[in-house]
Amino acid sequence: MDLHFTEADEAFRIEIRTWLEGNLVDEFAALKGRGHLGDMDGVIPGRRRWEQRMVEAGWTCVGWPRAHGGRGLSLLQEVIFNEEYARARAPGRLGHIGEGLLGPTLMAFGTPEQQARFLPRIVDGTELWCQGYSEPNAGSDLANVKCRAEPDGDDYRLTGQKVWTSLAQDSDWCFVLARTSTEAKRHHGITCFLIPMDADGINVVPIKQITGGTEFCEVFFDGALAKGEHIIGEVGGGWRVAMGTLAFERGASTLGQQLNFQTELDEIIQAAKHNGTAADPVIRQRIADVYIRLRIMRLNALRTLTGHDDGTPPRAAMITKLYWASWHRDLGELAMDVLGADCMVLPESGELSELQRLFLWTRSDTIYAGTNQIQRNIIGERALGLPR
Amino acid sequence: MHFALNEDQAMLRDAVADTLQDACTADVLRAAWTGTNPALWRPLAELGIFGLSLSENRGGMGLSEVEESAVAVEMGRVGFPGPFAETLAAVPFITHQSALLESGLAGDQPLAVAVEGHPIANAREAARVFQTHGSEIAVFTDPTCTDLPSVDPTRALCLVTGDVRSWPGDGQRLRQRATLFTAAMLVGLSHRMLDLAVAYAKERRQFGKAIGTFQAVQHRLADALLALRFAEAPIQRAAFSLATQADSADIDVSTAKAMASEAADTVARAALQVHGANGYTFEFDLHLFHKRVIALQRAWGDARWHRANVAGHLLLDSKENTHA
Repeated sequence: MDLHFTEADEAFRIEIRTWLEGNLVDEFAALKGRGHLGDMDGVIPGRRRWEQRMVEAGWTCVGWPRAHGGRGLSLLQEVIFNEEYARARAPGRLGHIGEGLLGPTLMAFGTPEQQARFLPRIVDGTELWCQGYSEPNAGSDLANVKCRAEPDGDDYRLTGQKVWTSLAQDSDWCFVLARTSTEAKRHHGITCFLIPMDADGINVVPIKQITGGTEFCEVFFDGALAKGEHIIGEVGGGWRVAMGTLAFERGASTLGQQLNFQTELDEIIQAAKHNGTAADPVIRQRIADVYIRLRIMRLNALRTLTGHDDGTPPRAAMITKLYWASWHRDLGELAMDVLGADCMVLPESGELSELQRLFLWTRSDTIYAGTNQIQRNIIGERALGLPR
Repeated sequence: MHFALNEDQAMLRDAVADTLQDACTADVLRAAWTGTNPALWRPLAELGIFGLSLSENRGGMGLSEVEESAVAVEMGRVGFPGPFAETLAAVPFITHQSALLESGLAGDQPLAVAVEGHPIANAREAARVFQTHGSEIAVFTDPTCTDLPSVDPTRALCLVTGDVRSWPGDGQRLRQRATLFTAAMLVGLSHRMLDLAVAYAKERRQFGKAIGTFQAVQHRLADALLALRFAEAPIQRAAFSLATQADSADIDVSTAKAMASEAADTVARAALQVHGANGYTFEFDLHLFHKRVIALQRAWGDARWHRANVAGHLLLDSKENTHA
């Protein structure tokens, strides 16, 4: 047991911290705190330029192997990177779906040609990705996807609807689960396609959320062409690919998010000190409670990394989604209770304040990326070994 | 960064667990309700656990709270009777009295300690009775014990009165150690109760199926596992902080105890509910562990007390908890 960071890790922390301090200036200073949960569709042009600044300095895809254009960082250093990125209040990453989900999926399931075609453009930020998995009738029950893929020579034509597709309106490519067979058992008839978002027959309709923002969209496919060479894995092997992607989604990419949460908690504490609720014993208990649990999330993230020095994503992540989702929901409620009656009133700008948006956004945490109920099913079956 | 027990630490923990599995069964616990059983303490003392954090030239093993808390989790798992956490916490504070130290290391007689003004567990049978007051430690020179009926009979409670004199050592550290080891025992107790509940859910059948197939039961147990899993890392963090005298030690100890107290409560409630009416009987073992939880949850500060302590640190004032 040794909970100290090594000198090399501390030096790395200083390196990224110094770079962020030196670069989040001038036009980029205004991006601080923007583009995160609840604001993922905000300040897109500025964040595109920021991505390019990151690319120039080699700070994209830092956890990827060097062979694929990454920095080959250890998972621990990747967490340090994410922590410092959050501490600097740097803007939400536009390329995170390509970097965190599609890239690792391609490395695991893609052909060398597909990797050579797509990975460099994720590293250099020239192609942004969105994820076409969920459908109106395939949410928690993802295997129920109905979007059809009909053969057309060597290629396929996609027809159907995707929904809750984050950043679809700003993305260049989409990775899509579609049904290539209605004969096979439902898990076996699904295939994973890569399709350019400017293909004919794709229509993107943003969905307005309770925050007023439009972070995700409906995507309609009407005979849109997906090339056969852009199928990931086998025809009919899409379920395995999808499960791989979801493991990445619930894995390392969330391990550094505690410092984003810390920033939100700091703001609530400031508000509580400012309006005097910091002296209220009930509010003090709740502030201490969320603070304690946040510390534990970081401890658990660090603990999860031990034994995963080889870069495989930690599996304990399946239990953490339920924890942080519930925690973040509670944080949003604490924010409102600290504001008291003021939470009813919009600021003069007419836009939600940060804490109001936090509350509304956190209504979604226990739903997306697997609802709390689905997470409990998974824990019951896989972690406790309860019978089906 | 290595956030796990190393090989030697894990071997020590496993040796303790093996010894306890045979020595401290549920039947032994029931028998212990009529008094502490020294036959239970000596085999553990032979493994050296009361001297874990003493230097080798004092008869110890030169280790730290990291190993001690790992052992305490195992003690909790079997519901080990008597003032184990207190004795383990106090042994390093008696090194200047060699006869007392020898008896402590041999497991002959426990040590009793509590925060001033609180009931003291197992004071009657203890070799010495201490109390802490902030950074001070005092020992009762001629303690008078008034018995208080205890919900958990393996943890006999007394109000202790009589003259005290000052005792060398940092009372804050003694309190933090006892708090941490109590938290660790709660984590062990939670493991045991959850194991009992999961086994019962797989075995008990209603409507023609194991009740563990029902989502309402699964979700209850999933929440219990979640609470338990997130109470484990803080034990190790607090142990490491005490061992390395980190600035965050007091917050870390309070984090560990608050989370362990809450996790044990969550697990106990889920386990009782899953057991149905059987869990409410004297015959089933669950209550042996549940009653320890009721006591240890509140010993050395309940979750509310420790949250208040953290709030004091966090909000940079000290409104709360001036008495400790």
